[in-house]
Amino acid sequence: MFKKILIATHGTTGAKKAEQLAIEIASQHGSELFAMYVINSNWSSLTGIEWLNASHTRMKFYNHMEKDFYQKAKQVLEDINRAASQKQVKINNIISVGIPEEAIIEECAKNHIELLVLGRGVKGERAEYKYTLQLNKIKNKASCPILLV
Amino acid sequence: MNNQKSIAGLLIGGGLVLYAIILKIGYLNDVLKYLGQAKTIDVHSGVALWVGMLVLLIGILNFIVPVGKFKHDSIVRAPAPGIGIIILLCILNRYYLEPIFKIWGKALQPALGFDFATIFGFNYILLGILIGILWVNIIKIPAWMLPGVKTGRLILKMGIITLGAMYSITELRYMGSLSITMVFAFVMGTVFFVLWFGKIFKTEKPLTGVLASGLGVCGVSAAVAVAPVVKARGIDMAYSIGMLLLVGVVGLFVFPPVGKAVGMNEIQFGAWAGTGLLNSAQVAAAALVFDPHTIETLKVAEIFNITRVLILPLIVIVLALWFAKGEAAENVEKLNVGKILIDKFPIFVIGFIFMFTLMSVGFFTPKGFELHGKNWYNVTPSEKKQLKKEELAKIKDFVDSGAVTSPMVKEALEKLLVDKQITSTTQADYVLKAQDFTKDKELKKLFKDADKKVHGKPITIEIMREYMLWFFAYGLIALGMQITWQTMKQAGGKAAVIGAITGFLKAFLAFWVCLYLLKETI
Repeated sequence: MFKKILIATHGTTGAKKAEQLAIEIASQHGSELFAMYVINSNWSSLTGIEWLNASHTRMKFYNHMEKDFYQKAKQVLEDINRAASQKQVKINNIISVGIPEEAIIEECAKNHIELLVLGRGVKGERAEYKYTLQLNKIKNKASCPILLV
Repeated sequence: MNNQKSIAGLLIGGGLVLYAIILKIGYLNDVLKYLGQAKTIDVHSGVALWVGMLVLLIGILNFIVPVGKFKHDSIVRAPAPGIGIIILLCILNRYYLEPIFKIWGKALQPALGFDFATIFGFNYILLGILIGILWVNIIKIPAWMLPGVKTGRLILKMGIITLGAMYSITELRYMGSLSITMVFAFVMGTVFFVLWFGKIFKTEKPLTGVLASGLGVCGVSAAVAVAPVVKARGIDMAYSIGMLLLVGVVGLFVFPPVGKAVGMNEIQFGAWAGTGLLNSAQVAAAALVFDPHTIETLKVAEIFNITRVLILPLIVIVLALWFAKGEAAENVEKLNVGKILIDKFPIFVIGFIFMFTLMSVGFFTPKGFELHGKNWYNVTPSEKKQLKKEELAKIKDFVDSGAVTSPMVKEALEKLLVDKQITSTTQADYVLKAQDFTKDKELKKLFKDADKKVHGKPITIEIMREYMLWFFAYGLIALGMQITWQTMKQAGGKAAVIGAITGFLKAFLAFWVCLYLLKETI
């Protein structure tokens, strides 16, 4: 029924539940799974107030953070890949930098996604950048059904 | 830079030029007269006209040729509309909103029992920061304004470099030694306190390292500088920066009214803000909110700020050594002390020292002018500076009475009687000291007047001071536009607890030291 499923995850407890369900659905329907990790580009505005450092110090900081984010993203995606391969689900990895809602909508359209799976936030737990996903934005613009786990 | 044509610069530049023309024609004379700003028309119409013309020209180009087409568009064409808007806000705050708040403060004084505008420091600096904060958090900063907003960093540094020309050697020596003592004690104290606190709270090393640097030295800038050395992760930085900004912003709004309420002088407040406030940008802001027109507090606070920044490379080294202890060799970068010292040295401090040197050798001042203590003097003889006959007679009677027991003071007064005016800054010091030998209020006033008569600020310094205030007003609006709730919301976890406790303790201890132990003035 769903040829292509996109799961957007940050590896949090809520997202992990969504990952499991997405893999389950993909396994039952023989779907291709797209696992997506969005590095929130709002992150760069955190240092907006910083003004004293020379630009090379700031660049060194950004490079260090970028490395950290990609490492975290790879780790999260590796976990879901492992789980998917156990169920023989074909999986594609996407690491994207941007505003989460926009990035998700864009990937849905680009890959002709037929089901988008998202995890619910768990109280007291957060990804590295605290951010509340605006579901309305996705709901209004995404061209596929959304499953909120 | 979106490779699109933009009409923003054209409209904003055109608006500024139109405003300058309206001012020049005199349509706003009555309004500005009512607001007590009639004398500022020349200055602010000049700024509006020149900045407006520049933004308008670039705006026309941006309207015809997409921004991003040429190599240096990101630093020349893209920031223009944002720069125009910030200048417009500077004008609005300084010449309209500040006087309006002054009027409101006085009008509401009978009802409230105090002048809220003065107590809470509703001047153009605070209003600029507030407008910046409200703008970014309520209506968001449009993409075409962002490159202009980002110029705030550079402009603030230009403000500090220009400030270098405002110090006398006496001031720099006094403030410098005071700040080195206080900053060193507080920075080191806070860094080791946080490292110890981290152990108590069992926080991970990267987070503790970033917190120690941010809370100890100069806030977000220090946290950013130390992050790669202690291998900070995204979550550590989000927690730390959110907390540093939140505590810093609270401090910015609390420090000035408290300083005023307890009657701090400029040295006490400047030292308190320079030591107790977490973020360096908020130090400049608080000093200008406390005292926006004489810049004396800013001078003290910025010396403290500069000392903090100069200590930063040392703290990076200390924290690198601390981080390396007990870590596996593959997790630790090889420590290159020389590279850290060079990399982290703030270049703008060289500009500050350069300006101070130029000032000290008299590059900016015509012959006869001298900055002595915190006052400018021009002791070249002139009739206008001479005391009247009856005033000289009163001083002669005082000298003859034998009340002056200090030979230096007596000599200074005798010379005053011969020259009829003060002829050197050293003499001015002794004439002022003569006040200690009498209880006669009229006589005391006479000595003060004799000193005041030889006060005189060169026009070059006035112009530089004016530019400097524009730089700070501009830079702080731009910085206000980067204080987002989204960033402050990142505060949380153990970082928030450690930050709140350390921030409060540091502010309180610095307050106590400055209020009770710093009694001197320059």
